[in-house]
Amino acid sequence: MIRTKILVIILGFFFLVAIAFAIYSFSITANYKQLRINEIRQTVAYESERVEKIIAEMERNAVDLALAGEQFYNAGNYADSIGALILVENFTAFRTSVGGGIWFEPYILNPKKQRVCFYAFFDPAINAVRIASEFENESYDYHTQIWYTQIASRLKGKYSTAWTKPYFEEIGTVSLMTTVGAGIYDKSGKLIGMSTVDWQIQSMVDRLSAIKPTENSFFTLYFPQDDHVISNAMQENSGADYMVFSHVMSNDWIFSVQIPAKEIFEEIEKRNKIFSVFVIISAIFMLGSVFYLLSKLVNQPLKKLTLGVAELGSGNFDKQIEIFSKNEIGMLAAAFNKMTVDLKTSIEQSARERTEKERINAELNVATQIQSGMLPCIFPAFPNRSEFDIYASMLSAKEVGGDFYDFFFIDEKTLCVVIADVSGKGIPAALFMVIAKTLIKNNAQLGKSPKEVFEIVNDLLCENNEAGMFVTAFMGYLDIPSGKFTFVNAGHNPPILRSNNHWSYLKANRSFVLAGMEGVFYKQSEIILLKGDELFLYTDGVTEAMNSVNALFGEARLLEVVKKHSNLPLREFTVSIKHEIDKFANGVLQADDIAMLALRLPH
Amino acid sequence: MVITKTQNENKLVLAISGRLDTITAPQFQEELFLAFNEARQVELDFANVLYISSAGLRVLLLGEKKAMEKNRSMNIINASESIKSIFEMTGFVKILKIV
Repeated sequence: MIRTKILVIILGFFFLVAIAFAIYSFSITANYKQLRINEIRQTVAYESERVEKIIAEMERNAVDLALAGEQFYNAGNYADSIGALILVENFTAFRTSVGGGIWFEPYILNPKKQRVCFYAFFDPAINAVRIASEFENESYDYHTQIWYTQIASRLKGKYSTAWTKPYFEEIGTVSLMTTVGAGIYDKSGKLIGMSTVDWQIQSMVDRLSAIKPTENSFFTLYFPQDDHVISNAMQENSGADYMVFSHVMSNDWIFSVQIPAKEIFEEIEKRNKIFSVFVIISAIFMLGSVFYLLSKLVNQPLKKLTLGVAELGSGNFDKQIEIFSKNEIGMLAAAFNKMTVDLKTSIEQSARERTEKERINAELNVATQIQSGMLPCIFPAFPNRSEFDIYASMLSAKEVGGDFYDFFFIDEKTLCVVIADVSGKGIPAALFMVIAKTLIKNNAQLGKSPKEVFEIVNDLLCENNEAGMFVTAFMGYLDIPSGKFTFVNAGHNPPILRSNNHWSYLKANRSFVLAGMEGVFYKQSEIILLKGDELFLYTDGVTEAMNSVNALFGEARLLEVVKKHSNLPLREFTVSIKHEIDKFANGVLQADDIAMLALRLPH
Repeated sequence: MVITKTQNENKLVLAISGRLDTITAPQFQEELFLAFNEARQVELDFANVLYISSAGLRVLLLGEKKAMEKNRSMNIINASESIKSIFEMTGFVKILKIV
């Protein structure tokens, strides 16, 4: 099937396109993935840097405050108002921090006073930094607070800083906090107090929470010293694969963003999927269209044509194929339609011709019968006349011929014999023969002499003889009592005469043919026939019979065979003459009519 | 049958060779009638005519009539003895100019 082959080719084409697309898409996807990873990395790095900067500022401030505390201690005399002023100034200038303080070890600064500290914080109520004095209360006892002990235990000497684990502050700013501290040392290096700087980390956590490259990604901020984690993970994602982007801060905090592996490239994969589906759908659509078009434009018309040809083959010549497209198949269909019409016309025509031919043949058969019926053919013709014996035969070369013979009584004692040959053959000759024969007989029976008959008939035949037909004819009247034979020869073959056992051609007084020219005079002759004498009349079909080397039978040969068979009864005699002719012709077809008439006067 | 035409001064010679019978007569008639349009004097060279049938005789008769009608002359030359005997038998010798 053509359609299947074309579809396979298109399918193959699509397959190649799909491979090309896959290769292209693979490299694009890889690039895209790299870009995506870089983008997330940059975000993480940027946010980490921000946090790092704050950490550094906080630590720096803590160290500054610790140094200020050390000055206090070294000065020996101090005023609480100055300490408070330093702190308020510090946190008014350094608003990143919500507050902080300087804390001394028990009894270090004042042997009478266990707790000496200065704490300032931003009070939103007054929109300014102020001193909080309640930390010196016995009820709070900052030396035992977890942040204090934690920082103290984590400090590693002068200028070092230490961080607490995140906690919720219930006094002052109630929020998630972390605190960085730096130690205050005396000259011997002994820890005598610490500074603290508080960092309200809620806004940082919020900001980190906003880093959501994908729907289910989450961040973690890990505090290794405390094994504590802050995260915005919405749910437990156990078992899922994550891509982790992390950053270790200078204070050992670990910030990381976790992205579910299947989500990070979701978008590109979705796009790829959509594009693949698009390609597949367009391939299916295209194949469908091609299938439909091929069916409509090629398969169905071809099927129609095939069925049409089969129907034509089974004999339906009215079959017309209804394909009106202007393409090659339409042209083929049009050619087919024209062919069937032509075939039908041609078949009908040949059928008509055949019918016509059959009709003509049938009519020719009838004509042959009519013609042969016109010639006397019942023998013996005159069974009650013993004075003479007569026999005649006619063999046409075609269905109808131009030769004829005739014999009849003009009166009781006068027998008329006629033999004639119309020029040409077939229907025209036969028609002319009928006229000639009728005219001759009618005129002879009016009692005219042979000469007069021929002159009248000649003139009559010449009238309207546009076709130039003519007749050679021989006619004789036998006066039975006397044996006088009066004859006229209008250009016909000379009869053979047996007179007194002597055979010869009767060549006397030959005249021009009948119908050749008006006003011809015909010469009439007389001979006497005795008992035992014989006349043999024939047409040129006898003497001009031809053999395979175009030799003619000829007058000499005819005379010989006539002599040879003269003993036979008349019927056998004429048959034998015909046999001799056939023997001579040796298979060559009879070309001309053969008419023979024999008249014998018995002893 | 083959007919060879030769223009000889004011005379047109048709040399016929072969058989003049039912089959060839129509062609002979056509050539003969055409010749009367081309020349006043038409000569039929019968030297190579092997046989003449009644159809051939008919054309000669028509030709003679045509020649008379158009004031042309038609001569038959070089006819063989067998052809001549046919002309004699049929009485055509009296009608045609046989040289």
